[in-house]
Formats: sequence, C-alpha cells, structure tokens
Amino acid sequence: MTKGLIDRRCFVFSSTLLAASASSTLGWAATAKDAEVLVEKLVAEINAVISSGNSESVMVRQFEEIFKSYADVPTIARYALGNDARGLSQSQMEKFIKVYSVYVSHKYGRRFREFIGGKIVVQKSRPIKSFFEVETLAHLKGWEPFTVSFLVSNRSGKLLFFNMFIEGINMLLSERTEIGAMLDKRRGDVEKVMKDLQNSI
Amino acid sequence: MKLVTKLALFLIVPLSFLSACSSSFQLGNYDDPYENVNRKSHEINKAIDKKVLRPSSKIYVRALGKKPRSAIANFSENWGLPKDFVNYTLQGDLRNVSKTSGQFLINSTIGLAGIFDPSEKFGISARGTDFGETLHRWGVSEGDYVEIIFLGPSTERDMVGKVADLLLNPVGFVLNPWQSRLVTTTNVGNVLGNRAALGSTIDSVLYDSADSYAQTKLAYLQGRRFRLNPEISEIYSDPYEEMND
Repeated sequence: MTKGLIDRRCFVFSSTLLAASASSTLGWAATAKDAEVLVEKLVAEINAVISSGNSESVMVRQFEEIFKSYADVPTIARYALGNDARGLSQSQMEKFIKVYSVYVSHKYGRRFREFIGGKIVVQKSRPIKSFFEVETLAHLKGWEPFTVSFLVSNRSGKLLFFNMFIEGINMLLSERTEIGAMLDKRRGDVEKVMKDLQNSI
Repeated sequence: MKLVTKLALFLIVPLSFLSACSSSFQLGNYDDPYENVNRKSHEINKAIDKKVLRPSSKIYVRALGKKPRSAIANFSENWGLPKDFVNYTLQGDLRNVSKTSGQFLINSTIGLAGIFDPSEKFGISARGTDFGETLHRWGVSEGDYVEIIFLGPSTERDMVGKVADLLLNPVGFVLNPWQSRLVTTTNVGNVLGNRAALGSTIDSVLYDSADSYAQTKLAYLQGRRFRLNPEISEIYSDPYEEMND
C-alpha cells in the first residue's frame, strides 16, 4: 500500500512535468479521493468566508477569488461559446476567455453569497468517464438541505472543477444558453458580447 | 361537491388527458412545442413579478420581523402536510407517510397548530411532495413544458398535479371557512417570504439573463427531474472531449 502511494506520487510528479512540457491532454491519474480533497478545500474556504463576519461586499469579492482559483475557467468559457467558438480567431478566443473569467467568477461568486448563514458538507465522490463527481449537501436555515455537485477534472493540467450542479441545475448548460442568447441578440457579434459582458459587472 | 365525486374527477379527467401526452421523461430533452404560447405567459408572469410579487415581498420582509415570518411559514407548511400525507399514501411510500403524519401531529400540538416546527428538532421532517410526483411514481410521463400565468413554469403532468392537489387537500374538507382563510393567508405570506429569501437568484434569472424564458425553463426542468429522480443524474457532458472533436 505504502509502495503504491509512493509510486503514485512519483507518477503524479512525472506526469505533471510531462503535462507542463507537452501541454497535452494527458492527465495524471487522479482519483475520486483527490477530487474530494479539492472540493473539501473549496468548501472549507467558502465556509471560512461565510463565518468571517466580513461585510457582504467583501465576502462577494472573496468568493470571486475562490471561484477563480478552483474552477477551470478557460474550459467553462469555451463551453459557454459552444459551436460559436469555431468562428473565433486565436486572439478573439483569448480575449473572450479573459473577459468571461471576470464575468463568470463575479456571477457565481455572488451565488456563493446564498450560503451565508449556512454550511456545505462534502458527502461522497465517484469517477464518471474521465472525471469525478463530488457531491455536497448545503444546509441553509429554513430550507430543506439541497445537493450541490462539483465535476472535477485534471485535463487542464491542474485538478479543478469545470461544472457545478445546484439541485440538478447544470451551470455549464445555463452558461451556454446565456452566451448563446446574447450572441443571438447581437447577430453573432462576439466583440459586442464581450463589451456587454464587461459592462455588466 | 362530495369527496367521492371530487376523487373520481381528479382521477379520471387528468389521467385521460395525460395519456394523450406524447413525449416521455427524457433527461437532456428540452423540446418545447408550446414555446410561442409559453413565451407570452412568461412575459405576463414577469410583469406580475415585477409589479406585484417582488415589491410586495420586499414590503412583507420589511413590515414583519424574522420571527413572525418564520411562524407564518411554519404554519403554512404545516397545513400543507395533509396534502403530502395523501400523496405519499398514493405513492405507497410508507416511510414518508409515517414521517409526514408524525411531523403534522407534533407540530399541530406541541408546535401550537404549526406556528413552531418542533418536529425538526426530533429529526422528523419529511421532504415535501405533490400529486405531480405521485403521477410520476405511477409511471405518467412528464409531457411537454408549459408556463402558466400566475402558476409559473410546469409540465403537462405537473400542471394536472397542481390542480389535483387543490382538490385533494384534506385540509379543505376539515377546516371551517374562517380557518381556511387563515391557511390561505399564511400561504400567501409564505410565498412572499420565499420570493424574498430567493431574491437574488430569482432576480438574476428573470432580470439579468439574456433570455429569461430559456433560463427559467432549463432551471425548472432540471430541478424538477433531479427532485423526482436524484439517482439518475443528468447526462454529464464532457467539455474536454467535446472541444477535442
């Protein structure tokens, strides 16, 4: 068992180097437990902010930072664009990811605000396809506890969550619907969407 | 109307209607044949929220302290329990039948007609249910998505469920008109309190999104399917795979 652990650590180390050098899609062999540990840390940070007693505006900024450091924001940005991503130039894509990062962490950072006065507890994890699902239960005063699930992957080169389900509601899908609707309203003009995303914050 | 007639009505009419519903329960399916009509109702609902519900919920919170609001919410929810009891019985869910009845008995007595919720401290609180869920357990498919004026997002099956729940609630047969009015009033209070408590979430969907209709539909269908079938989770798409295509 100990040997297995050391082997795994070696493998983690070497494959991190590999991923860094080749920036390939090759991930190291993360386990459901690793994903669970990541979400434990994420939840601990959210809970710490909640119990800090800071003003709400300070908390929202802290939540934003937490979102940024635990979420694979570039992947979320690309998914939100969906098929429209294909028409973008490299530099447009980079700009979109940058603008979208600020917008999405602000939006979901604010969402974490709903947990003020409550707490989130990690329940269980399991592997699905090439990633992991970590289920948590959010306890808010006056409400039935509800499930918040995080999908975690290391395909970006780092172990991060790329999707979140609040009572079954899929963040990626909502985001793709949102960006799709914004593009429709602006006749597919990505530049205009970026400008409006910037202005919405 | 006699109880038996009512029962017959809610069993026969909706079921014959539902058997005509074509689409089945399908995760990841957001087809919307009624979209045109639904969008019109959505605009009306949004106006109702903006002009009435949202501002009243703010007044409600400001006018009443936390304690009276929680008393109203408890009372309203307590008198919704008999409806849950009937539905769990129809679903054959004995565990929740006993939980619901225990909760109702404790809260109606020690909890002073439901103003307090002592059952929670005993760890007896059943998850709520409705006739839409009963139909689901009986194998009725969800039908198509509908948004109804005043009632909000629903599906054909759940819309029938809402009507059935109104007819089915045993509280209506037992209470005198004055008591019924009290329950109705606290139900309104509870709705206002919930609207206020979920304020920023509802606002972001209704007023900050590019297509509030599409977001409402997505959130409702996913949330409802998850509630009825938490063990069959959403078909997870893999954005890493998709982007490598």
